[in-house]
Amino acid sequence: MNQLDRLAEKMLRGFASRTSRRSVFSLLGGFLAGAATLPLLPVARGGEAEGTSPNDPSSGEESPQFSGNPQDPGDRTKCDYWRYCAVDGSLCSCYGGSVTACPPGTEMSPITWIGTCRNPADQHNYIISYNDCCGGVAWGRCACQNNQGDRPIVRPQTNNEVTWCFGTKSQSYTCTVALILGVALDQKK
Amino acid sequence: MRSLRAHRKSDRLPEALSIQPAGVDVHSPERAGAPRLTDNEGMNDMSTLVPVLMCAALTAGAAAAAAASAASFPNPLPPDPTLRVEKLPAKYPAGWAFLNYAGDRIELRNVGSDSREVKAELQARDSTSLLVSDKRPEIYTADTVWSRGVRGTRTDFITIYDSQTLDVTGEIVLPGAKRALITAMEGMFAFTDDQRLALVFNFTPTASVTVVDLVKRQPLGEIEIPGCMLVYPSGQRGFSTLCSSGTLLNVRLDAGGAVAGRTESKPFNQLDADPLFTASAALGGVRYFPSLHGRIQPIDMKSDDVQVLPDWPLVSADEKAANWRPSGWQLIASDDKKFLYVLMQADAEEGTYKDPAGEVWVFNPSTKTRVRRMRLVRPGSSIALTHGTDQLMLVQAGTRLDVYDPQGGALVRSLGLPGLHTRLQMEPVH
Amino acid sequence: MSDSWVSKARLAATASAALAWAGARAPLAQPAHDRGAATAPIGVENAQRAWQNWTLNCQGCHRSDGSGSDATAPGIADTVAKFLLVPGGREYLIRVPGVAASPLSDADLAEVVNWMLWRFDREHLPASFQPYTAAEIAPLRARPLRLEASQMRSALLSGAEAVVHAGAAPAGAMRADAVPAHAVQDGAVPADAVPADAVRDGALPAAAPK
Repeated sequence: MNQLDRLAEKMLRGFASRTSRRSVFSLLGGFLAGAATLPLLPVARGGEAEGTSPNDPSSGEESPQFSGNPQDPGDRTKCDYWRYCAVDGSLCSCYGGSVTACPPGTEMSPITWIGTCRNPADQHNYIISYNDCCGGVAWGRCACQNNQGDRPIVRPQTNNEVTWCFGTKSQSYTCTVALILGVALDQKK
Repeated sequence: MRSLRAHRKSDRLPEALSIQPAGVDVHSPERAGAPRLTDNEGMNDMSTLVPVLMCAALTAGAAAAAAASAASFPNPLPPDPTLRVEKLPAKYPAGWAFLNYAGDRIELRNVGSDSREVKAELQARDSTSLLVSDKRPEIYTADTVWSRGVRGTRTDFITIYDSQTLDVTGEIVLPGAKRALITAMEGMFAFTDDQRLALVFNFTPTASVTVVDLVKRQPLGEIEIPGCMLVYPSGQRGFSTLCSSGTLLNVRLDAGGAVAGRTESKPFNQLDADPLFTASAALGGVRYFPSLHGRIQPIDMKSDDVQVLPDWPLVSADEKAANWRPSGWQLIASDDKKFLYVLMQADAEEGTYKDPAGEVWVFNPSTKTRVRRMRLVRPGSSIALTHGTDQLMLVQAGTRLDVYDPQGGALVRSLGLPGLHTRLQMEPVH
Repeated sequence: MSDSWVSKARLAATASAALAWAGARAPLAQPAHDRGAATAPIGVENAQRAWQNWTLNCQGCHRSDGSGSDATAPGIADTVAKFLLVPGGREYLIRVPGVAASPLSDADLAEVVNWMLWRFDREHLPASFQPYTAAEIAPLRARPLRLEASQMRSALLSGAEAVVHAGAAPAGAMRADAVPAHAVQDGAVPADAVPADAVRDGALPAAAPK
């Protein structure tokens, strides 16, 4: 048993220090049989329930973050927060950043991809800019993959798989923010 | 170390065996003496059944061994020679496959037998792409690193490995360090000119292609392809690329890797109504692209005169009404002979086109009909077929690699993919 | 249908408040001599829509301030209207793949290009500028530039720079003292669903849109 524990720990460390890939699984809760789909850190969970989002088994580790504004509801460390409707990557809220700011030591890319998400509180469709934060350490904490409005990469501005770290000193992906740019007009798609 | 799964409500393991890393194949070689997974057991929940049996077997084995030792073995084991390194065979057996874990590592894995060993591993740092030659005993990866880990000076480079020793026999630094960093997927790195040249897709977000001479081991030049994405080899020496105007741009190269000519098709990719996936499978020089709403688009890329052929539906009217659609990542494969294998999922809707799929549908493109339909034991995201005789169908489903008989659809075995947290791109050996 | 709009009253109030604020901080104002076409975007029926189309389809790569680089996507700010000063430049702007292959209709595309010219480079807009129309856009975008695009850009741009420096532009086109559009200060408009820069620049009409 110890051998496997050591193996697992070594794997996770390697994973933690080197992973820069941002695309993650879409995890359909009902289909997970057998092994967990994301490697989980060997830390005490304090007995809380499993992550509330089927998309994110690691979400149970984070204490929730709320805006405090009833017009902007939801836990920003969970994949089902309304702004994350098309996010593919890790949430900066779990890395020392926030929904609108990058973690210390990283750089926000000015080149980004844009989605549109509906706010359940005010029913507006907001234009959301998914800027990547670059040049920091990524290891899949709070990883989400939602594809509302995402399309194959032939039209890159509609695709979330690209590492959108352009115009930054480093293109190493760290996490993604979700900035409101404005309200979307109703337009035919 | 506390159990990694201690707090999962579904954990039904006995206390003594609860410490188990997620995703590790419970049939790794060190558990000698443990019962093996046989055919059809994959349908059951293996994760609780097997460890209980293993506990019983190990206890019995230990007692027996103690009794037999001294009498049976009068001489101790001889010392081992040191500094030995394994070598791979000159020709890899047909049951082996490269598994690209999208930026963590590339495994060469034996999926063709119950021993299931990892045969070798290659470094993979960021959006690593892999090409395996069958003209030369070489393997190529295109990769990206920064001089100080996640920051510093960026270098993009092709590593050339000897296919038997996996020694690094060469490196080609890519000018401009502008490779597309888009995860492991088709269209980032391709051979052309009988594997003499390689094409690297760049994205900054301006798109271009770097042409590399793999024999002389040097870059030849860069071709800008603004408005187009990814490279698919076409013709004798050239490539085709999918453009955001819904067309296909085809570029022919001269022997020095410069542009010798180009054509652009009429628009055919319905980017609003029913876009094509960028994953494809080839049969006889024709490349088949599924669409999000269930068509298949063949494109003849055999010759320099690339032809967009008529598309046809993968789904009947009833199936379309039930929203059966192709779904997944590396979601289409061919058997190199006659048939296409497509991952299909019912009740598809907006935002689900990359989700795992519950079935594989097999199509004959000559007759444009479905010949077989197979239910998967677990929904899968990527599919590949091994080459040669005794083909196996490989389906990545979460952190499991399920291996099936492609004829009847029976599960042959299931392997773990430990640490996989993202896309898997599979490349069975030739 | 209109549930994604802010209420008309709120919009009008915000817009006029913003413009009043802009007026109070005078350095933003256009030069006193009449610049004709450059005081408001022409060929733009709905500035909010144009802003949205720019944001969803172009801003991601060309950046919210329209700056750019050779390494990423070409700059638009202080540059894009220059192409109108040389033969072939007007066509080039529509045949550029990002424009030609845009998911927008011909009419929406014409509108957003007209808006971009004003928003990012109005100092170089000739007074004689005729806005793009859907009819002009359609045949041009059917012939997108490919491998030759960046060479064509360089050639056109050096020709345009020569025109700019020689001061040989049509009257009213070039003002050495013109305030660049992107020199507008940020944060002028209270946080709201209305895009700050569209209101600030006057791209959004003061009257509530339909």
